[in-house]
Amino acid sequence: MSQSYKDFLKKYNIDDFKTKLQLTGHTKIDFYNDIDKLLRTMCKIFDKLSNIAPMRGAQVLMGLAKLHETNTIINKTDVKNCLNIDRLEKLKYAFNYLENAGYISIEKKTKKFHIVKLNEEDNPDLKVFREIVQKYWKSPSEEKEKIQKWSEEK
Amino acid sequence: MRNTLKRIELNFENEQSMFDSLKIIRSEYREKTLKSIACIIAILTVVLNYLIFVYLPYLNNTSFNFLISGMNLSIRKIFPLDLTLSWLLFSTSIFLIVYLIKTMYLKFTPSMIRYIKRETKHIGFEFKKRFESVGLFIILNLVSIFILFYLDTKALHFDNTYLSILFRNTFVIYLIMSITLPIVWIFINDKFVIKVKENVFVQCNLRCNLSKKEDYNPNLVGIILTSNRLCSKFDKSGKYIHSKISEKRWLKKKDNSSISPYLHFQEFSVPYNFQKQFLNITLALSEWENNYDSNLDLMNYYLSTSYPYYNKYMIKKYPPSENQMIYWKFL
Repeated sequence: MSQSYKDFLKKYNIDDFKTKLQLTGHTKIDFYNDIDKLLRTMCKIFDKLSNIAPMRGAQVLMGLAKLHETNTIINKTDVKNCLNIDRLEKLKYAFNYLENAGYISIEKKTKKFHIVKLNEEDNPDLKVFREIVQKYWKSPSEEKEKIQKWSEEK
Repeated sequence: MRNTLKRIELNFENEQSMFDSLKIIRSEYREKTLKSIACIIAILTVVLNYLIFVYLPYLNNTSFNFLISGMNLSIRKIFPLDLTLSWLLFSTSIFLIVYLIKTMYLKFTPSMIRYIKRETKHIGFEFKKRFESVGLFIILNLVSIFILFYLDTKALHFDNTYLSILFRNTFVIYLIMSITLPIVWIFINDKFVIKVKENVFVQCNLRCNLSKKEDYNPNLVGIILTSNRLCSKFDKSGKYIHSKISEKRWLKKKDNSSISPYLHFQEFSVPYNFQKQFLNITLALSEWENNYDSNLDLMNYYLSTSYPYYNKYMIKKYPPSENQMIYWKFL
């Protein structure tokens, strides 16, 4: 069952300034689990929303955020592979839009090698987004790998 | 124009290409429908001509009347092989008409099939057209035609003995079955599927509003993904697991085919997010297998402890977890 944000505040009396917040023993574990549930739900919402929008911009942002966990230098092909997309042209519009909107920065090293980065300096909210995505999101390439392993099982 | 359409690949990456892709799908669908209608008209013309000029003049003397009434086939006075030819024409035309109507109902067009094939291949699976009704029809009718041919050539004939009457009646029932079974098969088993693993597949249905001439929305090209049968709707444990997985993965909880007594997973996708939605439903199937099978194994273990053939292997393979005990409450 997903955790409601309002229920979470009510459960620990966070918005009630008369009650003292005490986090000891089991309460601390419960508190962590509830926050974990909230963030996981948020990540699921990111994932679903990124697949509803007709442009792949949100997917590229999620892919980039995920790749920041392991790669220091990320190029457009890395993002394409992470999202398990067959052709880079499918992401052309998304990269253009995100760059124009200032959500990502693209450094053109050569004609084909473009380094891509999340623009966290201008958009500090992307830091939380990246942390959530890195912790909870499974990229399509990871999902594909998991399914292929399962389908090979007898 | 036709060649240009064949070469163009569908693209749903921006609004203009979506609009163009839908135009291609519409024109292909129109072409496919026209072809099917032309075929149906041609078949009906042949059948009507046969009925009017060949069959009706000898209506009282046809071999079918003799076969059904049980009279001796040797006294009929129509042309040779009339039984075989009439049956061949009758069964084939009925089957083809139903088959073509079903093809018209299926909105998958060649370019759309190519698009989904490409997307599926990229995830490592294969999108297949599973049309088994044609094979079934051919097999059943070959047997009918073989027997009818023997009856026509008088190599086989009926008399008034018990065995002969039994064989004749059975054969008439078989003839009816050989046409009804493939037709039922067309509606139940002919589909586009993606095989995930042995006995696990995902069925694809295209939903697209192609009838309106203007104001059509390119985003309305929808693909309904439906999993294979999971378990009976009356299996409470299965229903609970199904509902939990559907909830977690945002799958449709209400099955469109409410008449079906089985549970399925169902997901809606548009061409642009087909791959992702397919991964979602397949992961749901994998979770189902892990949870439901281990639950069944646990049940087997529980039952086996009551009997001498108790199996220690099951409990080692699937040690009971807290979640599994929740399902137990529903058993």
